Amino acid sequence: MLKEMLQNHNLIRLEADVEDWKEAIVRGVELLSKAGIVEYRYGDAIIESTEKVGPYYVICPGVAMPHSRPEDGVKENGISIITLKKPVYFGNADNDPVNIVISLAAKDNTSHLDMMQEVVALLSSRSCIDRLLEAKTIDEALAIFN
Amino acid sequence: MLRLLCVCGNGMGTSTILKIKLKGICDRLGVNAQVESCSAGEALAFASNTDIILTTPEWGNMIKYPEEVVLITAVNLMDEKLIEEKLSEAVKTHFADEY
Repeated sequence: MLKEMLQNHNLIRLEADVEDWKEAIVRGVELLSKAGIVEYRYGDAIIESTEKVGPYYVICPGVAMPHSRPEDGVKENGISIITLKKPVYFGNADNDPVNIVISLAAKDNTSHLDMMQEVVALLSSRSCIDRLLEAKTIDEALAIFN
Repeated sequence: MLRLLCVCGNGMGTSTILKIKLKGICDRLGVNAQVESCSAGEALAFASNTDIILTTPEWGNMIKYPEEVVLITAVNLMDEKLIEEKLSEAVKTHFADEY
């Protein structure tokens, strides 16, 4: 299911060249907004809340899952995945630097559960993470969901 | 039944990931548990009906919860082994009679 969404809505970018954590968020949210999953302002809300409460969404070493609240412009449940050419620092001492950014949009805290199960399955597998980081084409990246 | 509550900033992302991980761990350990998630702001209201709260160290320092609730924190939410160890220890230490 996640695979189809990522494929059909063009929600993966590989080896993105970004300057800092803010640009990483902007690029991730851009994919979501082009797909009609969030309004463009969603990215500003994430950046604002990160500056206020910190980057607690860097959930494991190397992986950030930036997101904000449904009322900040979420239209559908969805995620985008970006791998970074060079890692960036979000300011999370334990899990920085980040080279995978999974931008999350959730309409509420229950309907996204199936999607989150798939994200957790992906992130729980070191070999899946490595394959994602090594992927040179979108098809290679999508293959980790097989 | 053990009542677990996962907490993060807005109760959508990080806490959901913790919830999924915990359900898997409890199933494997054979712990009969109810796992809920909520935002930091809701934590106090939810926590009155909770045995153990799981969150990140940052939120652990910020949220309010009743004294009798046990707090477990994890930095790497994918480190199932560590979360499992902390959970087992908390259950043994605080809830050994009940579970």
